[in-house]
Amino acid sequence: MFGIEAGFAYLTWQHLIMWGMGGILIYLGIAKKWEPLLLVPIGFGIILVNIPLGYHIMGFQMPDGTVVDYLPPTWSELIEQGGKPVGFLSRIFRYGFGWGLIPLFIFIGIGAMTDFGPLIARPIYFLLGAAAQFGVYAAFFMALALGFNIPEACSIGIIGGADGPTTVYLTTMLSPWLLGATAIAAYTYMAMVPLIQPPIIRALTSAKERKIYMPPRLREVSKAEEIIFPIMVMVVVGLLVPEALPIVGCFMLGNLLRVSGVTDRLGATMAGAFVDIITVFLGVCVGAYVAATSFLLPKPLMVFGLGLLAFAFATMGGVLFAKLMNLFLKSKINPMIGAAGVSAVPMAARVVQTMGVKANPRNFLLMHAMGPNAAGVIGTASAAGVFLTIAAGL
Amino acid sequence: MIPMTINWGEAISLAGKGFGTVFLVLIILAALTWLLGFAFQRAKRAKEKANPAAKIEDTKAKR
Repeated sequence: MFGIEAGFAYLTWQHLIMWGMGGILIYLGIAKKWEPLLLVPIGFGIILVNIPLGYHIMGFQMPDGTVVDYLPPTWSELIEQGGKPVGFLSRIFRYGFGWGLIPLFIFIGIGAMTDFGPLIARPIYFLLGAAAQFGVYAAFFMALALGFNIPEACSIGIIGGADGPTTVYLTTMLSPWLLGATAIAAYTYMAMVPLIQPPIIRALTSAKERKIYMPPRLREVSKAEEIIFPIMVMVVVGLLVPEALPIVGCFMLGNLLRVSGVTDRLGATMAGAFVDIITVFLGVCVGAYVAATSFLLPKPLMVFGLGLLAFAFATMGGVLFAKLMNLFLKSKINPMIGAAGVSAVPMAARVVQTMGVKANPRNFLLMHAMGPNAAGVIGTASAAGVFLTIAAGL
Repeated sequence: MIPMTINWGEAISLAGKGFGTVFLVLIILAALTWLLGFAFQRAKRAKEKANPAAKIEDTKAKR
């Protein structure tokens, strides 16, 4: 048009499908308020990269001068072949994701927002966080059964941990070609926790079990315990699962800045402006990675289905383990709090709180549910470290 | 159709060791966290026993 090459000539039906997908995510974020901080930038990024001739967005220039205007699944090979990012998002993607920085920065922010008080007050909730990792390994097996190789199965399995940054970090390290699918699956299903978990919880628990009352007051946790806890977790996990140290280290750094009492400014910045900035780039880059030609394929679409099953199994694992614990505990726990062992903080804990009040208006389960919820993040990070160790040994 | 190219024995071993490792890590963390809490609560009780006046002041301050 007027001598300028327009993108209209290159628009295909696949682009329109991706526009629709981006639009749906934006709608879910704005109208339904499902994880809007993530779904809105992700949805926007999807539309952005699926406008033809958009090499200024996610383009890579190869040594022979050709320009690829979106990131193919094999983007890591592009870099190994000397490809240079020429789009503004491809530069952020190349260094922020290629070096694994963005998910680790997010973890600093998450740590600065997490209250480990309920978990420190009742350490038994660590076991519920561990049990919820069942979803990770169930999805790992299902992925293998469907023909994915071990690194791909690890990236798909970790979706069951319901932890977006861990999913992004692990997939970038092990199977970067699945990044778009696993990240969008993880964040979309995290947003759908209020829809996915309640039917599963109801199916696995009786009305009597859902009514189990748990006194809302947990023991008081001292400042010293809150300060020692993140250092202790970092050292223990680092010694046992060294590959998990980047994730857990960043997570605990953020938490220490929150609880130290002398770094409130840093903690507030990490939990506020810093994590918000990183979240915008995380969301837009993940979305902009999802070009039609690399996403509308059988494998990425299978990832979506497996991700949902992973969430379901994680919820099942937590609830069933809580019921098992009740066989041995004098003071029974409400088995619904097992569902909060998935790392979707604080959404899973809020779901448990809502269901708890419905079953028994006297119950206030939120603080109890935050224990397994926080433990689940540590559990998923450990599971990612284990997967990285497994993959290194292949 | 389940692919025969995957070594299922190895996959089961990997998943089992992985899940077991995660459980072990969190059990160790639970035990250490409990010990931490036990030590601090014991120290607090000993301090209150040694100085009951301080406990009354502390309770008043919290009110």
